[in-house]
Amino acid sequence: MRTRTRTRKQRGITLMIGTMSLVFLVPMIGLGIDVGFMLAVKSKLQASMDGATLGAARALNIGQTTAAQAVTAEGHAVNWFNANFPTGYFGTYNTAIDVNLGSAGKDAAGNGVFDDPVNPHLRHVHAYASTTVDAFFMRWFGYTSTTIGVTSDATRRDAVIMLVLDRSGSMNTSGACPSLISAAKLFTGQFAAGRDYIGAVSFSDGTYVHSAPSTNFQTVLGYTNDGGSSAGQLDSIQCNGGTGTPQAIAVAYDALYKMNLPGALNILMIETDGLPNTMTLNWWDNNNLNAGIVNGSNCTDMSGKKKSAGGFATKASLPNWTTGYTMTSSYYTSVPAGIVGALYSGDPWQAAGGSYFAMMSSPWQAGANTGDNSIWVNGSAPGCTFNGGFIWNSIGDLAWAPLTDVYGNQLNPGTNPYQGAVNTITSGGGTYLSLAGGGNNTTWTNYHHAVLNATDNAAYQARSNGTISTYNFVIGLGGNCTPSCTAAGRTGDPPDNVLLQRIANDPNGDLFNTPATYQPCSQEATCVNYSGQPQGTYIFSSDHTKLVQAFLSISSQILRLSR
Amino acid sequence: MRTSIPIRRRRREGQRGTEIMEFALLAMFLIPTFLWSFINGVNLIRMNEANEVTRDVGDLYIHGVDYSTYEAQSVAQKLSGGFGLQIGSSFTGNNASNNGNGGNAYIVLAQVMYVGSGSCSSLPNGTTCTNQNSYVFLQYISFGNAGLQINGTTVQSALGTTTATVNSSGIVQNYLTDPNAVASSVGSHFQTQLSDGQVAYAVETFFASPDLNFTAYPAGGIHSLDFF
Repeated sequence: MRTRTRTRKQRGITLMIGTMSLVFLVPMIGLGIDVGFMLAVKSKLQASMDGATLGAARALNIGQTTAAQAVTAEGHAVNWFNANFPTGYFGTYNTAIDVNLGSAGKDAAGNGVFDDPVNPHLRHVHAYASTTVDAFFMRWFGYTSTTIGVTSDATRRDAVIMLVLDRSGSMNTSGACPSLISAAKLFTGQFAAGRDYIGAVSFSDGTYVHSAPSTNFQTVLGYTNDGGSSAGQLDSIQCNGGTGTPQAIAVAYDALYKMNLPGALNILMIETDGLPNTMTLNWWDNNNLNAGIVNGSNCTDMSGKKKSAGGFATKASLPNWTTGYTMTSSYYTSVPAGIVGALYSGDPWQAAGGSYFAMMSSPWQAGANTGDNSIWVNGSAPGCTFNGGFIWNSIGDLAWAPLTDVYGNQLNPGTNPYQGAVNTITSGGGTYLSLAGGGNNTTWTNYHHAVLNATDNAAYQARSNGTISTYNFVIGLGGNCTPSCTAAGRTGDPPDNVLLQRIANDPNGDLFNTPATYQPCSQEATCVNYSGQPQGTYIFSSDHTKLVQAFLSISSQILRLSR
Repeated sequence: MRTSIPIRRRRREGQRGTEIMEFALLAMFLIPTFLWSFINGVNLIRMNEANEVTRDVGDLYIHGVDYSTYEAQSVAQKLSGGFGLQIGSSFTGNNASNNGNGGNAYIVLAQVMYVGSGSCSSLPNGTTCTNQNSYVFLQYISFGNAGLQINGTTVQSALGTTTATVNSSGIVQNYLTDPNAVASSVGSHFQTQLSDGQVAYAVETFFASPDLNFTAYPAGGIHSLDFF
């Protein structure tokens, strides 16, 4: 009986001990679950906030004043956050985002959008969010809920942008000129008035500076931020003439250099529809006191003397540098007086037809240039064969051309030239670009290669400068072959994709078109990519109806970089 | 001492199987509890990781990484290590729809824009702006396993999909005029409609957890969506 009694008492002891152990086991498991749950909510909250501040930083362009932009950005932060962290996510409640009240990380005034104290061209968007999570198991110990808070900070660098817009004649014949103006205006609308700086140059044979970079760019260039458009500098563009790309890049870069905002994002935004064919050169070698005029030329210098009569012998006998462009505080420290002009060469289809060189024009022409004028830098070129206007094959007066243009762009770079070494000659102690042939196909081919090299080199110098290095974004525009051009079996000499890839320093192939129109840089024999230099983007727009999309794609890329 | 032996023997005889029955009773509660705790604990850990993967992939995406390339998809694969993201064998160039692979992960990246009258003004005269006042996809990239199933159901992007022409790098063609470019599911995510031309970047990840499936407790998977 005694034994039976003890057995009954002990029956269920394992169950009791096991049940009692649950008192400790379940809270321990629950603690792990609750903490894991809170961490999961916190990670989602953090990701949501990061998305919100980045989205807000990108929205800093909306508004005409920095104060208005800050308000817009704060509103966008809330909108983005709510999209990422829906109400009641994971059973959370009391969720709130704070972009305007004082909290750690904001500036002294408690603003959520504020300038960086060190870099005045950097803006922060700072926000704080919190939410409450109920505990499932820890409530047994009195912890019914926990409030989780996270902060997030995104930055946006001000952008300093120079538009470099091709207004050559082919832009006119293809009907692309109005589309270019419209697309360029829309492009400017993507940036923050009052903070970002945008200016513009347009170019044909010559270059015209419509505006240096300005925070008032929307008014100056002709865009208003409320969805409408107004007239501005971009509306003055008329398309006519050649394609002096090296000078345009150099002048646009100089405008960025003069702004001298190394803490900002410096950008050249280049659009062109054809091949470079014009360079601004100085046919006076001041080191060797040598003029690039043939002895038999009828050209006369400022004193009325031909070279054969002792003319073109001193700098004093030559006209001064143009007054069309101020070089003060410029990247280009000195442009000497001399025999300066923009030498236009034909496009390949013209050269194939026997038309090689046509004129010497002014480097400076207004947006509505007539294109065809034949002058030295400050007037006519008396006695010269090209003094009468647009005359094909009229450069017999020229003995050679310099190996750099007036901005220092190299026509025959020692490293990675795009077109390989060009033909040179030595004369009077100097080495120069050969114009052997006096204007025939040999002359043209050598000059054409030199122009391509100079264009590539202008972009290289802008990217590689130690003080102000630029991101270069490029749009190549196709579709410039008119029906008559097509009927003649020509291609219209579209933009050189490899050259434009090199200018942008873009390693990628065509990401814009289907099928792709060009290969990645690594697969192109003549393409070079510099990984240590800023890498921009090149887009080929097959016709002008896609220009807007191309410009907006570029603006999107820039806004990505600016954060 | 003499009586203790028979008592012990008698207890064993009388109690034979008692402990095991009691333990079995306990186990009926404990084992499901431990199983539930394990599955949910691991899933919570994975949810943390998934949120971080989404954020990291998105951060790279908005800063210009081209996820239509194999190299970039490889980066996403490394970021989501342990989730079983498969992107197939190496390819050159671009593949914005590398989504026919196996594995336990599927990732969608998209750029969406709201089209207002200003955006439509860029169209040539006479062209109808079909997608005015709509969200449209500008880019759509997906990779991994588009046939991924969570809880027996094939995953569906909360962003929707597009049947518009998309090139190899994911750029959507004719997004102003092709109605197939409309991102009809996007608007519901934003409380305030985006302004004309405003772009949002979205990253969506799906990670299934078949290794945690037990008969009574299907582990399901994790879905994460963030706009940047």
